[in-house]
Amino acid sequence: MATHPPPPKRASARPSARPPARAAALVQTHAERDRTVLRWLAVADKVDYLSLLRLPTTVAPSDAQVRSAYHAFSRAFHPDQYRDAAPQIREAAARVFAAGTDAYRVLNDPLLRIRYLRLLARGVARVPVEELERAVRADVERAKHATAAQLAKGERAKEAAERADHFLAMGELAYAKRALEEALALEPDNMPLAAKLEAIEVKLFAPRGRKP
Amino acid sequence: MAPAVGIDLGTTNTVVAVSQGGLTRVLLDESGANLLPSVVSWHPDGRVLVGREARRRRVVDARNTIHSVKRLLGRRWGSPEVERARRSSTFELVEGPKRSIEVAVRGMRYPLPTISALVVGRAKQIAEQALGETVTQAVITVPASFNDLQRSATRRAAKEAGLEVLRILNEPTAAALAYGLGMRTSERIAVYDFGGGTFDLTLLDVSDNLVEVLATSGDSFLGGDDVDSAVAQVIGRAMLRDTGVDANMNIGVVALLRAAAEHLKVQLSTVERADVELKAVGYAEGGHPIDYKYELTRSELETIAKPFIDRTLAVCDDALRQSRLDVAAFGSVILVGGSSKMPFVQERVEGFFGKVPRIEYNPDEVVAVGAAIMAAVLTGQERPVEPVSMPKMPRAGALPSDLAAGFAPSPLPVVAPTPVPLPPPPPPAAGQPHMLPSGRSQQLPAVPSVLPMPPERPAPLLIDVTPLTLSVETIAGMVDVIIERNTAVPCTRKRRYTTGVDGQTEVVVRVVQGEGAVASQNAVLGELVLSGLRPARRGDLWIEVAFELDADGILHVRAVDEAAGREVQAQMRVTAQG
Repeated sequence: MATHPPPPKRASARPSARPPARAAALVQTHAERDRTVLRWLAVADKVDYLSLLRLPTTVAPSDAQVRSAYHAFSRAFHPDQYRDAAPQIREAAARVFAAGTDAYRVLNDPLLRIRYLRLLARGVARVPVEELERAVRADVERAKHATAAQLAKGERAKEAAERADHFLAMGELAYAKRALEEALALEPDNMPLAAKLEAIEVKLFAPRGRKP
Repeated sequence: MAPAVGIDLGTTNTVVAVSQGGLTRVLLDESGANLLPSVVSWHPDGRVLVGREARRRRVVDARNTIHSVKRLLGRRWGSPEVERARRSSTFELVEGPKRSIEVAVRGMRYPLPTISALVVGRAKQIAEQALGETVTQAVITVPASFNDLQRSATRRAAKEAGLEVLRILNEPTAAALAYGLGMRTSERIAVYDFGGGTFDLTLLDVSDNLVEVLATSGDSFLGGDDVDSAVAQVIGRAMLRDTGVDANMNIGVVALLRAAAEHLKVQLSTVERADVELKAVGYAEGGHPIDYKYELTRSELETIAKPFIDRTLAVCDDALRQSRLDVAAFGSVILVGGSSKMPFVQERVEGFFGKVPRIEYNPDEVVAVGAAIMAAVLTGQERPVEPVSMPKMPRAGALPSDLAAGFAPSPLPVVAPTPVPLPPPPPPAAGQPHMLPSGRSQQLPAVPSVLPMPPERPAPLLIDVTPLTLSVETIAGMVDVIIERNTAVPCTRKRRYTTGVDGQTEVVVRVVQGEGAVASQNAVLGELVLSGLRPARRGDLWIEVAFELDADGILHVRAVDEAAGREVQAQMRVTAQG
């Protein structure tokens, strides 16, 4: 019971099956790898988070895309991959990885992401994560203590927000969500309103764990 | 060179395993036992017993037999958890220096990491005997919910035992590594770890040799020990009713009842009813010893255990909410910890997640096995982590060989990019999803077209999160959040602070961990003292404090005096020695 058998050998799992062109593209010498890391380091703190994770910059990525992009990024830059590298390269990879982890943090959180993408649309490529987080916490705090109508600014948005508040008071979360989405479509930069919507979505989300 | 071992330092039991030449095995002691009880006992003859010998002394010498210290490791004197443990503890807990906790045994006092070090030392000895070599390196596991202090205390315990700690690894991650799950396919895994003293539910996303912790939630005062105590109380009440002997009058009888309760619980995992005979629980007139026989059925045990299992499922619910994932999103549920051997637990978990939980590996051993695999990987004994054979659920077909080949990056994005409108939805006609201003790409540097390709290495990469929010205590006892809960590590956050008093030459930054809005509701990790500042008017002097959380989940704090433009010598004063 204490001894676990060796895993079954999987025959021909490696290179031979691969087409030659592809195989060539997948090979990097240590020197090439190191040069590539340094090239990434040169831009890691400058490019926007979407480009950093090699995501398309014309559309908002899905959660699954963000996750798999970050996983591929981690395979390339995770500190464990550079244990045997020169200290300078190790440090460089760690810095690039930290930048990518920030990108993931921002793109993987609904509110941080909305806020960041709005900024990006205005041409701001990078903001310290701390600042985004602080702004989002302030939004969440405001949303907690204000009605949707108080958060909305324009007349039409206020009208939709009032409906949302009405549904919230009745406990009709799904309807409240739709009304809030309407308000937010009118005021896409209204971050406290987005936080209000997010709070409703969290409440609507039921993990469906069955309890016998 | 001697292999590095994996050690699962548990609340109740400790297990040591090694991975050599692609074979991972749990190392057994001289008598062939796989579990080393995490118990230390000071014998009257001066010997210090560790393990099973010590555990036996729990009944006869409860006062000098120390167990379940993991629950208290890294905690502070006076915290609610410690107060609670003091009330039910059969040995004496005293306050040590800097509000730490010590145990008082036979006139001596020992800090908690020393107790753990004795257990780790015994595990090291078992490994050395089994391997015939000196062991110097280890991967030690801790619950995902352990905070910084608790991890540091664990690291210190291992060091005291003469081991170099290669990595502090989360227990659920170790369990997933042992199963080799998702190493070729991509899936989400829930790890339900119901141990002796703690419960943890961790959600993992595992894909192609990479493990990401999505969320973790736990209760460090919920475990099989609680079930034992509840059963012991039931027996105690029955005994008082039937024989008139009050167990609470005698600490030895309390320990005896607990041992009996645990025995019954274990028996009832395989049989429907079991009984114990308690010898000499008291003495009748004339000095005749009173024996007491008690029988328990499995359904009675389930009634007693139900509230505790309900609490574990509430924790599961919390973790799912945090990650915003449905139970259906999880491909596997892994059971870890001795308490998940109870059939009732397995039924309830299956009911909750809607799928049969995996328990092919012994839940007592699976974490140590995973730690051993990690140790082998970290010391460069490259061994591909292959999925273990899975008789119940055949694995899906193999992926194309190029995906299986280690870390060759696949072209991005992996999922075909379908245009997704920018939240907030819905702008159906407006169709103004996030469009970057034209010309932006000329202004910004472009990322290189290729990623670096580290040499192929079958090491599982771990992406971890910090389980609790890290904050700084500010004026009026409020907290200033620095690193939010469930942020992926490693990460660095910077914050600027200024002085609050004219001519101030010293600043104290107190770092706390927890979700409370007020500092006193959270655990204090330590204080950062910046001294030798240039005297200036308040608000004139700015200090930048950088919080860096490393891959082990340990916090490093640096501080820079901006006015002087130099890094000020900052001392991390850990205020609890736990």
